[in-house]
Amino acid sequence: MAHQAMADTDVELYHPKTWLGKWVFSQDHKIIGYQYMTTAVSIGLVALYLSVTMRLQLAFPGEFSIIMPNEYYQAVTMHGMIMIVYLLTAFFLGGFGNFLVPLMCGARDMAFPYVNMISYWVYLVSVLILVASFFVDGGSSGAGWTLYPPQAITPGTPGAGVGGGNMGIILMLVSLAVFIVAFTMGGLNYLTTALQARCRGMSLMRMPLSVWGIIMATILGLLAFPALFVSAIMMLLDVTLKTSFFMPAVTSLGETLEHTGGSPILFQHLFWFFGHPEVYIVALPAFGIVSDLLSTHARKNIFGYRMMVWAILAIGVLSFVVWAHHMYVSGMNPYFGFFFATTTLIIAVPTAIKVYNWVLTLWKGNIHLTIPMLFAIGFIFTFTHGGITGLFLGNVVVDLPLSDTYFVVGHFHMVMGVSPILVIFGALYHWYPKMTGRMLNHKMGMIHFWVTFLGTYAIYLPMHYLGFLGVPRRYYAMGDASSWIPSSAQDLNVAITIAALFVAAAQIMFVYNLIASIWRGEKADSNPWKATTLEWQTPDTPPKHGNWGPSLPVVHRWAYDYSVPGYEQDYLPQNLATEDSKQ
Amino acid sequence: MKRSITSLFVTIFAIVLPKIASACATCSSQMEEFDMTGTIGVLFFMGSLMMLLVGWLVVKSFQSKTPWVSASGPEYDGEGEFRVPASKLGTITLLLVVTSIFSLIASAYYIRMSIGDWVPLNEPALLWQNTGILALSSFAIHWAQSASKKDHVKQVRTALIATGIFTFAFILGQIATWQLLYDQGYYAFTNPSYAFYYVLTGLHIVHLLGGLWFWGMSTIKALSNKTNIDDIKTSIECLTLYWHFLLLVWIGLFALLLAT
Repeated sequence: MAHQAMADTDVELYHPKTWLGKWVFSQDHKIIGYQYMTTAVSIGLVALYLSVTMRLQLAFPGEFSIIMPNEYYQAVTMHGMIMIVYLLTAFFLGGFGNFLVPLMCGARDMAFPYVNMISYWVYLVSVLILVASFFVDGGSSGAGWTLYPPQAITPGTPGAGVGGGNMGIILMLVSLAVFIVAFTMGGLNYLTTALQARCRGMSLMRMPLSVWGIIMATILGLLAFPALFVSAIMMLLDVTLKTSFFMPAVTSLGETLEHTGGSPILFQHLFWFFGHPEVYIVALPAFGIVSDLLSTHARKNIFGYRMMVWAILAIGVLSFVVWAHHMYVSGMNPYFGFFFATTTLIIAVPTAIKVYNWVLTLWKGNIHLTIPMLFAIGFIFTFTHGGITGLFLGNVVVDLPLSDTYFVVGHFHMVMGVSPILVIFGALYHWYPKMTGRMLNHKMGMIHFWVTFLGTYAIYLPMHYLGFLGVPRRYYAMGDASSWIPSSAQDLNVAITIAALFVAAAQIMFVYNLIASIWRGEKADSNPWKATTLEWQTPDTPPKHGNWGPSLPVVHRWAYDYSVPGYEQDYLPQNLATEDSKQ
Repeated sequence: MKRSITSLFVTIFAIVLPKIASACATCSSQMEEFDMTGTIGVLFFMGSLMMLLVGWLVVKSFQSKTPWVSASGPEYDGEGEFRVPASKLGTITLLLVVTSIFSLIASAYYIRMSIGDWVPLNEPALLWQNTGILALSSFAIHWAQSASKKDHVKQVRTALIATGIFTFAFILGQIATWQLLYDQGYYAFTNPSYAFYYVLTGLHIVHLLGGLWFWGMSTIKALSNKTNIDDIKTSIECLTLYWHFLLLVWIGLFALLLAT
């Protein structure tokens, strides 16, 4: 069984000889994908627990001894950082990027399987370092997920430790730097594989949109993560060697610190130069995957394929010139703000193109309300709502009063929290039969979708209203300083928390469903959704190492031949030749 | 209809864009806090990198006929698309990441420099010799590449070992400059110019060490008599690319240090 590893080359595919090499230190892209997914979900559950404790505190201030002011700020920090970097980025690019790119492109494996394996283990190390920060003196950092200096490294910040050892922030920064190394190794693979290892006939414009989304997000990540890497290293030196990259002269607790002259604004520029593309690193794979889900389950070709590709590319480019819209409240030259407000609003154009095209894909389609489809449609709702509040916040004058309120919390959770996560859910329900050979439980899936989707609205819509009332975000409890807020705001907080508890329970049920269905799920055939893309045409389900058996597939058409007139079956797989399909 | 669309575009290009451009110009000249010229230069550079990548993808998207009209057999525009080996493409992508790291830190350097307390760095003279040594290592690996193309196994071995020696010598030289500065009492916290010096040279050394790891793997293969020279040709090519690039990065950094 010596197959060529890639079309056009004669390098043989590496075959593991031991059990350990096959399942643990595996170089198989699918196993690495599952490893990424499992790790991301595990650390995600920690973040879920943190969010529950925060909600309990907000609804019933001071009732629970598990969360005191310090822990609240640590929970805010860790929840944000874990969800954005260690869950969403790792799940979409590490998980789906690994699983989907070679399968959808018709490759046997990634271009550099060994580097790919190292990438996962380095990612695991970064997660472990992050987890370790919970257990050091003073606990994890409580500086907010943006880690703004001087707060982040000043004594007295939650997580600084009794002696001011700052272990929380040090471990956080080290973990981020290690994560970036892991991501770079993975990213080289996704990009090179999609550009280099496609099978015969798979031209760039025949690739499913999932692959487009993933490779564009990878390009963004490769160019944007260095900004975080650089700022993490410089901040580490500020903490450990007392340099003054970011730290101005600060008097803390009556003592003058050793720093002078550093610029916290410089950190913000570097951080958001990474931070804004990061939003699209998470969103672009979601855009791509949701396009495939909608097209498959509406039995209709994607509307405006080429426009979708261009929109992905345009969003990718634009995302690099909008970063300072996160810094309006830091104070800036009005012309600077004007420039960034303009570019921010321009991003609405390619994004709106995508939303219209998704809706037009559904229009007159033969819609099957399967669970992946429900999640995909749910995504269109939450993404549109979150996107529209983004237009509010993109304007300097609107952003200034709203920036420190719950309006912003509602906005970003809607647009880059819930929306990509709904796509992850939809994608898992969609590809689970290919990964395991079994279906996920339908009833639990239905409950999961409706609780999550309605719960999203029950949680985040009221937050927009709280924001208009002026309820400040990041507060442990309201206290006397916020007497302008009507007491009904507190009732709303209770309602939000109750909804959040239901949603959290639904996620636990989903994880149970994922695990139990491996053994108990209903057996699935190799192509249960009757989809056209290559991963459904593998000879074995779940695909074996090497994916394609003796010979690589040959692609004859684009990925969206659903309900083509003149054919009996309503889908034509990508590797179906014209002569075969005539019958 | 057509006319109104045309006039819309004319409005955008003739009125709105110049306004934005002039606003940008004023914004850069009016920024009181920072001197933004260096930063804007760096961003412009990053932007052109991005445009290059995306522009290539857009051009590709036009070359393919309407993707939905298909089923006429396997058209394979993958052929002739990339005749470079996968490892070379991977190396080039890695170089993009490295470019991104160093241009961002250069932009941070410019911003931090414009804040009052900056004392220009007193560059150790040893840096000139180090630059020469790094250039020698680059020559040596280039020699290895051309020798491997001519199948001169012995020359490849010598050249690779020479590369390693020169590179290690460069790294030691850089560390010696740290020691020099340290002995003169210029610590990382003395002034941000020294902090940046340690970070820039340190990051550059880390990249060289990463390169040396792969150099080691190729050299071990090259020294073994069982290895066919064809098997390591591509890796030597990638290494050459990487070494030249790091030399370029170092010259850029050195110029930055000298100029400020």
